[in-house]
Amino acid sequence: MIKLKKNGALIGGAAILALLTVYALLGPLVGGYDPNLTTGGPFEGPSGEHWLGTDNIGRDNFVRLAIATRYAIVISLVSSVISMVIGTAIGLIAGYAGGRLDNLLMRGTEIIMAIPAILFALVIRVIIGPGFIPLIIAMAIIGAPGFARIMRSPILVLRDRDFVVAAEIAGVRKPFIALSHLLPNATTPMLVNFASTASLAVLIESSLSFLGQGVQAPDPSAGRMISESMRYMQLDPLLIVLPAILITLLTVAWNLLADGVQLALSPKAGNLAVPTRGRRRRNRTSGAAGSAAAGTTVVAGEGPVPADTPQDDATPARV
Amino acid sequence: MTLTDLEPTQRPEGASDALMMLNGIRQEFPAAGGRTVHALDGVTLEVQRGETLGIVGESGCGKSTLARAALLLRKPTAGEIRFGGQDALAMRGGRLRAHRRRAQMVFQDPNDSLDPRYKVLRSVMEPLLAAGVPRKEAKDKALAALEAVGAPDGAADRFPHEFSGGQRQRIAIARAIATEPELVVLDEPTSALDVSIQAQILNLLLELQESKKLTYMFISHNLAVIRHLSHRVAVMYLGRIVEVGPASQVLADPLHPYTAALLSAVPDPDAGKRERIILQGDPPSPTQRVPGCAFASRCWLATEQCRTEAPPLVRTDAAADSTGGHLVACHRPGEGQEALRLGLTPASSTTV
Repeated sequence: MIKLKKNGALIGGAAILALLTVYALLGPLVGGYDPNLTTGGPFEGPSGEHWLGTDNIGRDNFVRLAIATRYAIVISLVSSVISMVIGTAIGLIAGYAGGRLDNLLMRGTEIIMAIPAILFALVIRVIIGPGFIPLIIAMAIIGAPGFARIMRSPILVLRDRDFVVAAEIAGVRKPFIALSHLLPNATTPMLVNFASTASLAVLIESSLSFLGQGVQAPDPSAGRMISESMRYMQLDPLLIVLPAILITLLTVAWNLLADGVQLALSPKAGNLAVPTRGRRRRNRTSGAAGSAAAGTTVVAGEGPVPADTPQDDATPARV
Repeated sequence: MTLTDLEPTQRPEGASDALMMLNGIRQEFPAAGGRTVHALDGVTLEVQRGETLGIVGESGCGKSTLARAALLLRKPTAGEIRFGGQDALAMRGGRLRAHRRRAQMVFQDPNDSLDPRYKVLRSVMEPLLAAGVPRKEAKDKALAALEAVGAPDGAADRFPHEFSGGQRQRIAIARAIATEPELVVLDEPTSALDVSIQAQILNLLLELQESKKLTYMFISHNLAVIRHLSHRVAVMYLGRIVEVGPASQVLADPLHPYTAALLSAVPDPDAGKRERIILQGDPPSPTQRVPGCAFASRCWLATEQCRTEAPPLVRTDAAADSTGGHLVACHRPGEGQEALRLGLTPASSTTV
């Protein structure tokens, strides 16, 4: 149903993520070294033995970077999933219930959003202590308000749509309406926000690790690798460049994925079974021609679908 | 065949037991600036078993709010709703859910009343499952309902976007009748459709009413459609019922000047030159309750009494058949139509 052919962002993002995942899983096995043990001389350059060289105490960069990738992917993925579940639930309840509960929940999310993310994470780490799980909890709490806000607005529109009113008239229970009518019709913003949140999570995790509050030593993490290698920047710039490339690749991949999902699920791309009111899926070229013929201005940027979309792919499925 | 050629439906004899009674329904909404919108301002109405009650009025007069109140979607600010003799507003939980299968609704826009992500069968089954019908039986009933409305073969396993507007409205009707309800509220069920499809849908509604003994509350601003379908007509203006009675009487001999003005606006290809009442000004804002008649600000017959004293909805001697249940809320009933008939041009009328 989703057309991948013209969706470079989606393919690119997914490909980079897939490659990094493979590297994270297989890197330590292929490299064959223990990431936390000295296996060579300090500051060795890339060689047949140590593919990406060694760090200041002779640990293998290739394996350490693979473990760092593992942490970055797992932390960004897991914390974003938790954010999504919590935030979506809050947005759904606030948007559908409305009134005082809505006010209360939204003011709560605003309070969290008003605090700078890094500072907030540091405070949480101070309160619940160091370690892998508290890190994920902190990042999940940071991400949740964004989901709540992003989910609330489509729910506000959806709750007044006739099919929701019809379900209420029929006596369908409200929690069921929320999960079976409201949520499925609001998945696009949710998925897009998931990818952006994950990209942000990579950055926050690196920043925290850089500050020494993220992944704890001796385990490698991109942020900590940078902070530890800063002293040797002049001597061996590779030690800083490698983790920086890793962070860049991961954020770019998640952001590309967000763009790609947005495009793939956009109704204007003709990919989805009618998520918007009144507009059935149709060929964009014919749509543009139609509005031009009707004497209206064709709005630029209606959706980045190329005009040479095959005709039969997008003809309206009318009876 | 144009809709204006359709004959008015005769009222079934002996249909006089009330299915639903609305008593003094008031619905207020908070508006910006601490004001209050009086969407329904004391509506008293009776829907009789087996009849079609047409509800006419201009946009924003509270027709849809009335429909939603009748379906217990929102608790009215004040008033009483009795359904089949029971106090409907006192129902809670399981009893309320059991009640819901007895009253269903068909919406104006069939693009919007079916969930785009639900297959047709699931949409039609939804009210049945909500009413506690076992899945197997619900499926059979849903398929039977789809057949009863003439949905195309194999429609059940397809998505709403695969159908045309008329077919989608048929599916929406199937959904509404699937639970075998007593009352079906039709909120402008044809106004979003092509004219060629409108007559088909109206005839389908008439057939279903006959075969399933349905009671309709038919909301429309299209007087021709109201005339074709309704046994009785209620005319609404600014949250109040200004006139109610048998369709043949209300539409032929309107007693309220607003009804007369509405009727004079219906185009009639057979009539030559005729008087047409053009109302001046806009309806007053629903945030202010006027002390007198709501229509007084636009009525060419308005007197001092009309502006200060709200007329009650009562039977009047001006009606052609004063025993026929024709009620009007006007201090000068019948005078508007009388003036038109005699060719006396009211100050605000024009000849077209």
